[in-house]
Amino acid sequence: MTVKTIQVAQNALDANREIAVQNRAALDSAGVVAVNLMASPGAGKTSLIERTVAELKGQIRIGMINSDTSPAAMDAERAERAGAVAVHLNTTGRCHLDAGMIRDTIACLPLREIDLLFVENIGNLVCPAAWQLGTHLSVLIASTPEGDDKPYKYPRMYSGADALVINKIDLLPYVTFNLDYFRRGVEALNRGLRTFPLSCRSGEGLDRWLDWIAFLAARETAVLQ
Amino acid sequence: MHELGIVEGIREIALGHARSSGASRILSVRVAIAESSRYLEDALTMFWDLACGRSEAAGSRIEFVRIPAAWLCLACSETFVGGGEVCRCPECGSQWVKPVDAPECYVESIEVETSGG
Repeated sequence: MTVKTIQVAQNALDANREIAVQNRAALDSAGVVAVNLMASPGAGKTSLIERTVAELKGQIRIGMINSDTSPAAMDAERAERAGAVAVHLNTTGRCHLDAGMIRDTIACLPLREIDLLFVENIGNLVCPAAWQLGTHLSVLIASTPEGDDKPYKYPRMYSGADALVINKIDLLPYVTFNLDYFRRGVEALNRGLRTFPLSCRSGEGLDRWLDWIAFLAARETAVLQ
Repeated sequence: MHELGIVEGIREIALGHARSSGASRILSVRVAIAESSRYLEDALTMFWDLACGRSEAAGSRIEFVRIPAAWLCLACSETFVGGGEVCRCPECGSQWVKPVDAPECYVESIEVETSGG
């Protein structure tokens, strides 16, 4: 028996990244555009998906992977009732999705019958930012009752997003949320970030978001890389 | 349970290198963690035993070395090396800082046993 030391110097997230690359290839070959939807709990991830599915029904076919730390599948059921092909992913306590979970879940989905797939990540502004899933785009949802300081407290989440939704703008008169202060924080981290201020409840601002989603769904996935 | 996913990643990397070098067993894994990282060493150690299961890494040790983290001040654009529980820009005093993109955690080396001479 011989004992020896092997120098490795490899990022601990590389194993996840390799699976994410395989996921992307599987999505591309099925022609599915996938969006990683991240936010804190209660920001409106499921509401946005539900509203989007209902408004675009008959125009694009939307799939949804809903994740939660428990077996409670009510969010997937909401999306399903709105018209999505939805599946619930129970992370059994894990605080974020990883590429392996997505690999196993997309294997259960009829990808050929889906144009656009929403992956609803665990409600968390810390861990999901570090884990690539193989999705084409990352969309972050902020909501006005959370407060305007979130870009300052969770810079990684904001700097990695491809688009930002500011939900619950109908509540702006009732909550302490300085939009200029919030936007300054975002701009310092992610200059020119595409932003959609809207309200899932009142419908204000939804049209621009829906146009963008319909635009994405019609793209060749290769264009989005 | 943030650490479990990281530990699984470390295990896959360690097993990959051990197998490709013909090792029969992993004795220890040395992991570098940035000062800016939120990973808890106690939690990583606890999950390590669980993650190794009956693989060639079963019974191995996981060891840590802390490495300095680079930060960017978003108020004045100063970059600096530092960390700790309270992190302030040495130039302007702002706490509006973010870690400069760099691996938070990487496998530095592994110690293995091989059956050959």
